[in-house]
Amino acid sequence: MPPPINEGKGRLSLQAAGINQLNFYIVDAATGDEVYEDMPRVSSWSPSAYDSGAEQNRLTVDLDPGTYTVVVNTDIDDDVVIDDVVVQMGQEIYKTVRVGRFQVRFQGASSFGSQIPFLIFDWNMSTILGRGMTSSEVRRFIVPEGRYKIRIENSASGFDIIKPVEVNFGRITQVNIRTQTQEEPETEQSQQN
Amino acid sequence: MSSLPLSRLVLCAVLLVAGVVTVQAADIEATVVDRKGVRYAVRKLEIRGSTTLEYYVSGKRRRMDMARIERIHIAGTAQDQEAPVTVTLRTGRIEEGTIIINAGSSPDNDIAAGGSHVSDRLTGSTSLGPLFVPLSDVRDVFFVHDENEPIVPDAVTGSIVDERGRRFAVSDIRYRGDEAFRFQQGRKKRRVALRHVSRLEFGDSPGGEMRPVKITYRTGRVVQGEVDASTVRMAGEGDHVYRTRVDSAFTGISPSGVAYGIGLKTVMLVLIDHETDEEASDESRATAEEGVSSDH
Repeated sequence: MPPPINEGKGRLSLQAAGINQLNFYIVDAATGDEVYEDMPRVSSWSPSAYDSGAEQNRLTVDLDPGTYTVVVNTDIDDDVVIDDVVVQMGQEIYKTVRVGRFQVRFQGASSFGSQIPFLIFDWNMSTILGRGMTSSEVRRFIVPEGRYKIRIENSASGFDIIKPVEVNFGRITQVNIRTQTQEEPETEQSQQN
Repeated sequence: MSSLPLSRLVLCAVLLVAGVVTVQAADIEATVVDRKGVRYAVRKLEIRGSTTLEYYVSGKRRRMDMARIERIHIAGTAQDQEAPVTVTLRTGRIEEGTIIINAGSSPDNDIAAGGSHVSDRLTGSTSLGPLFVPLSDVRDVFFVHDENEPIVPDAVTGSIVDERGRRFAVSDIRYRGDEAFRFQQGRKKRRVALRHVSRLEFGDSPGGEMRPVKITYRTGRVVQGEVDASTVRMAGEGDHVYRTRVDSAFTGISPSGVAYGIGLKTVMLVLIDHETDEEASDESRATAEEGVSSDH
């Protein structure tokens, strides 16, 4: 049961389809002042970032009645901006944040060390939108719904792979990457069969 | 000037951004014409579930809020993966590039666990019910805008001063291909449209990858932040992308018509030109007079 709305305020609930925590801030449309911010997520290229799976929902905010703009930072350069959010006294409104998640499962990482960085590109690979780091922990990257490509390169071993990623609202896209040493036995097995 | 309009301008400076921002704003209305010539009057129009159109101009990614677009024309054939597109903005500027209309056919089954794809389609509501048109079948989209909706200017002009004190006059200034300048305040990522900025002053950061920057808005408000000015090449970063990132953070067109670019390591000052209120009113008056004389 959610707590009652604070007296004299209205409630804004962001809906991100299963995501409980986002880095976002809220600006008052009348004054231009930032009235609220929450930045609980660690940047995507931090080696220590991971999802615990038991995150408390932090997407509900009680605000004074008024009109606001919500800016949601994602793990890439693209933000999601929700304009004209009208909060009325004693009422709760819901706004959808169209972001999705993807997760990179890198098999064979032991030959490169425990973690390996990768780049997040736009579909045509003309612009780097962000960076990430593989992890043995559960780790999901939050990006606006859309299409991207990720590239992992290790020049010492000659490993270089580009994978397309399609991120939808409310889904977790799995990106499986295997090194050649991981793929070879499968090939041999299939040949024996 | 009273404090309220000032603060509203500050808000605009922070929020009225263009380019790589997904804006969930008011409903978009348009007339859609498919490749067979069938017309649809559509409300709540979205392309790929968004009111921001993504396309490429000269290989560079553009994301344009549909509130700024007058018309979209998609050429090529329905079988193309990437089709030529002409985007006419409300300012009259025409951008020609390409748009991906059929990218959902990737053979990798691991890219969309859960059976989902980002559908390349245009959606909306018509008087007869919901509309779903594959983007490959769309030929033209004519947007319907409220006359009171302000037209956002699409190019900023100014001067850029480098570390040696040389000053360059540059038009159509962009930051990393975007109309907004992005910076950080600690863990907070911020952005401001360049048209709302009057001055960007970069500080020294010897040996550091983050460079301090002082942003002066048109309103006079000053904000401190920092930008990533790293010249370290990242694994997986191709030559062209690396050179673009390091040497062409700010791009534009010089008076001679040649492309201009400068990196974050060498830029010291960016000065954006703005019309004064008097100039703007003179210009609008002159435009109105021209309109009257041409009517006659």
